[in-house]
Amino acid sequence: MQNVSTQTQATKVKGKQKISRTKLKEIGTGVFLMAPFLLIAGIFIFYPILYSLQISFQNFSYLNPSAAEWVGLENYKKLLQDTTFLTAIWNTVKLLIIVLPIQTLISLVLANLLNSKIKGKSFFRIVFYLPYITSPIAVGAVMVYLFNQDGLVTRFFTLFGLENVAWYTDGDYAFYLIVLIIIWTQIGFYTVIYLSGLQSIPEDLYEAARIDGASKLQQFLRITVPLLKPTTFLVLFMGGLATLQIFEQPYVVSTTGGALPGSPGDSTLTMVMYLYTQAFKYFEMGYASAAAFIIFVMIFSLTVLQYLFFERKNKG
Amino acid sequence: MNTKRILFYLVLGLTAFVMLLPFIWTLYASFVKQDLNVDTFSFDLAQYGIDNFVYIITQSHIADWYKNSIFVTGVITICNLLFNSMAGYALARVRFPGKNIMFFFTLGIMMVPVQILLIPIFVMMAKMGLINTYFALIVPFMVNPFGVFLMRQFFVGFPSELEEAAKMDGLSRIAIFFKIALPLAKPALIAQAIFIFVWNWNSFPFPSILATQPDMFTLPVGIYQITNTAYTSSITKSMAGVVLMTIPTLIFFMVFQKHFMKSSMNTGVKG
Repeated sequence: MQNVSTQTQATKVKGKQKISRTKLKEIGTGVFLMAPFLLIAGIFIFYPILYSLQISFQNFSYLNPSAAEWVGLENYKKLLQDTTFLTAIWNTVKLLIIVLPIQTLISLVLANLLNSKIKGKSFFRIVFYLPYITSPIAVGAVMVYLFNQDGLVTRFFTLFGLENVAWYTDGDYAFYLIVLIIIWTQIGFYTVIYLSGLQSIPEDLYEAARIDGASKLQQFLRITVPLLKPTTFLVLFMGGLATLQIFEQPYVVSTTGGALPGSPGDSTLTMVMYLYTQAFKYFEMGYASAAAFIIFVMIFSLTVLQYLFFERKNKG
Repeated sequence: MNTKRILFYLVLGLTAFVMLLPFIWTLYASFVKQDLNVDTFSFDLAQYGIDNFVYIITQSHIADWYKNSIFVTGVITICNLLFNSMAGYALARVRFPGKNIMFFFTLGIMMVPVQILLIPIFVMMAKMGLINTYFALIVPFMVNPFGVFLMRQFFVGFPSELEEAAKMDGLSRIAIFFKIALPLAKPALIAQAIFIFVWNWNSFPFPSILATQPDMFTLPVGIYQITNTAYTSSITKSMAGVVLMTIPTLIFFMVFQKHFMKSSMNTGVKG
């Protein structure tokens, strides 16, 4: 009896040693495979966030970094009274309010047209997608001239009663130039996303509706739109995030000819453009970091919201 | 039925026209010799020529910008493919302590908007005296949490039989990863590569602060100099620069367009 039990104990111990050796090897493999990612992400993503937070509590100026002093919440207080920063936030929110419904609706309609029995589907898909992968710097530069005084598109819009002005220099028109550029850039991408959503709707639903005598419009409103709700949420979230972070296109457009970023006035100033200008034009890095953190919190909360929303849906 | 179809084609065709117009116009404008003539179409062939291209190629650093963009984007893409896949595989397949924490770390930094990194990365690089070096333009962008997440999702659903068989053959874990898992991950690697490539090829904010000498610019930064400073202040010359910059992206897109669509579609299915 005793003999047997010691024997089993011996095998147990032996087994444990074996397991721990393979375990150790496994851990080594894990460390080796994770190391480059952890190292680089740690140094260039994780640490910079903390560093940025630190700078935001200092009067850190790049021109004189050694003179940086702790100023507590001073930068944040000043920011919330800075009408330029508030204008930048308001402009970005205004973009969000105008761009989101329009681009979502256009993408939904285009996807439905593309999903019908038509020829040249892949041609249209490619063409619609092109603006999305083109450099925003190039897009901005081109649009400035298409919407220039006597420009091709400007002249077209005069047919509808708009004035023949250079849109990027006009206080009323410049903002809508940005709106048009964002929509033009993004609808192709969201059309493709809607297309995939459409293809997941079972065909027999439409068949049943047809038998019940539902018209095409009724089918669209009663079947397509409700069943695409998750896709619509995704398109709204992604579009919202992209718009909140918009920078390059308004930056290129507003600085044409060496004008100040956000010009004319501050009509095209966005949040990220404000941060970029404060930091790299005026070198007010402490102040700009505080702005960056406020922007960070806004964008991060929307991202977390999106994640939670879809995570819960995927589980449920 | 027929009128409805015509209407469909009309709407789609009109949209396609609106999408293509800026491209066509840019190409047209780049061949117009004088700015004055850019808004009035003419059949007078003497108005057109390749002068703008000659000017951009000879008078700007565009050859350097091309070289920099290709080198920087190339190295970044290759490093991303390797490092993100390694981390993704480890998170999906290897057992080690702290794995869950690392997965949440990945998810966490995935949600961080890159703009918050502009100032600290610039200050870090400036302190080390690395502004205007390839190090600054490449190293911070060599990994991407999205890529890690993508690869993890791929490897989680990867059949384990192949790995078991390889283990029987005496291959080490790391050899299994490089010889078996990585080659079979081609679809996920392509999906990752195209987006990493396009993001970095078009990237402007970071290169614009990390490179201040014209010979260290990447294409977007260089083109911005051409179009938005007193460099040329010419519409048609700017457009020639835009054409030269955009051509590689368009070729890349045409070659991989099926993969672009597939990846975007997958995003849609997730939702």
